[in-house]
Amino acid sequence: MKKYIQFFAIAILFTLFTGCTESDDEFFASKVVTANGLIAVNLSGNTVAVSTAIPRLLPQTGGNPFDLYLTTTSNQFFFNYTLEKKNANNVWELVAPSGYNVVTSSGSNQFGDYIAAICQLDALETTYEYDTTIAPIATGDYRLTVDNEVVSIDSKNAVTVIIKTTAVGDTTNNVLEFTVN
Amino acid sequence: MKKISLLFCFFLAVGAFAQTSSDSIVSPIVAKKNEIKIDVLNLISNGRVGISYERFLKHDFSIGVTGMFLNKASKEDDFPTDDTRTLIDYQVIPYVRYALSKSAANLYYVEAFSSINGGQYKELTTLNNGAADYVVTTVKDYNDVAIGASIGYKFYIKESFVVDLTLGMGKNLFHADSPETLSRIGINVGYRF
Repeated sequence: MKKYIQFFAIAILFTLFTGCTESDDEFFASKVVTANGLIAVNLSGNTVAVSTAIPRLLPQTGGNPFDLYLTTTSNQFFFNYTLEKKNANNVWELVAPSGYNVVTSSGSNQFGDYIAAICQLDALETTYEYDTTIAPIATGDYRLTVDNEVVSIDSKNAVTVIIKTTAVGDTTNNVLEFTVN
Repeated sequence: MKKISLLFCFFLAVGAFAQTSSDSIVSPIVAKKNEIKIDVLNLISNGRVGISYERFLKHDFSIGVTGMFLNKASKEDDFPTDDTRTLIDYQVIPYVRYALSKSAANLYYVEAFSSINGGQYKELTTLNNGAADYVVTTVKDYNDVAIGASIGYKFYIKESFVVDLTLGMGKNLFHADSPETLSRIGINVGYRF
């Protein structure tokens, strides 16, 4: 009886480790490309405009253009940015979506701690577009920080593309500080 | 892979302990020189059909071969889009075994094996349609040879029916894109004659 108990204990261990019988190589179907200056951040009075117009055929230095849509089969790309306000102790705090007004003319947004900017492929399938203005409601010092990656969304059975980029316009190192009076 | 290493160490420890047991009576099992087995673990968990033949040359020494083939269409179908890099289609595994226990009915063993294996792997390929480059995932075939070692435990019921547990690891030698390591885990049931 002891022998069978021992056997069943070992059999259970084997069953727990069945996953090890398969290859544990992982494959991430992702391609990283670089294209600087894709995100524009411009300050006008108390309003910040964040926009992109990413060409579907993304120019590549010293090579052929890179077709974002054929690679990803995705109609959308996204990037994140944050809006922070300096509090009474001079510490930056994230501003809740209720703390600013938003007007979106291209693409869309998802709001949380980050603002997820969703760039939408236009009807001609030539450009991924996003255009939003943000106007903080309260007075104070603000900081808008843009991530330096634009990533394809829902690349169905295809390759995810990560575009390394920078923000241009009124930012310094992807950061814009401004004051609302 | 860390889990396999831990289990491997466990078996080594158990195997070393097993060497202390002995049977002074010669078992009728020893007179039976051939054994065929089917791997029920891989069949149930991974849809792989594994059949083994083992020939006993001496009381404590045997040679054998295992053939293992993927028999699960959904796995093949899912492979181009899932997150695994390689898919093993077949393995032919010749092996030699040395029994660590003196008992013929209930024994631990060590094994050296080779695995002639083949299957598919994925890689990113850049194509050009005349206007621009784009990237797709392509699936290619590979064939390779691995060597490795295992440890196992087997016991006999009614001196003919065998249950055989094997745990081991191997390393592919030649193809850069084949799976770097192969695990050899199985619960085989079979018949000795």
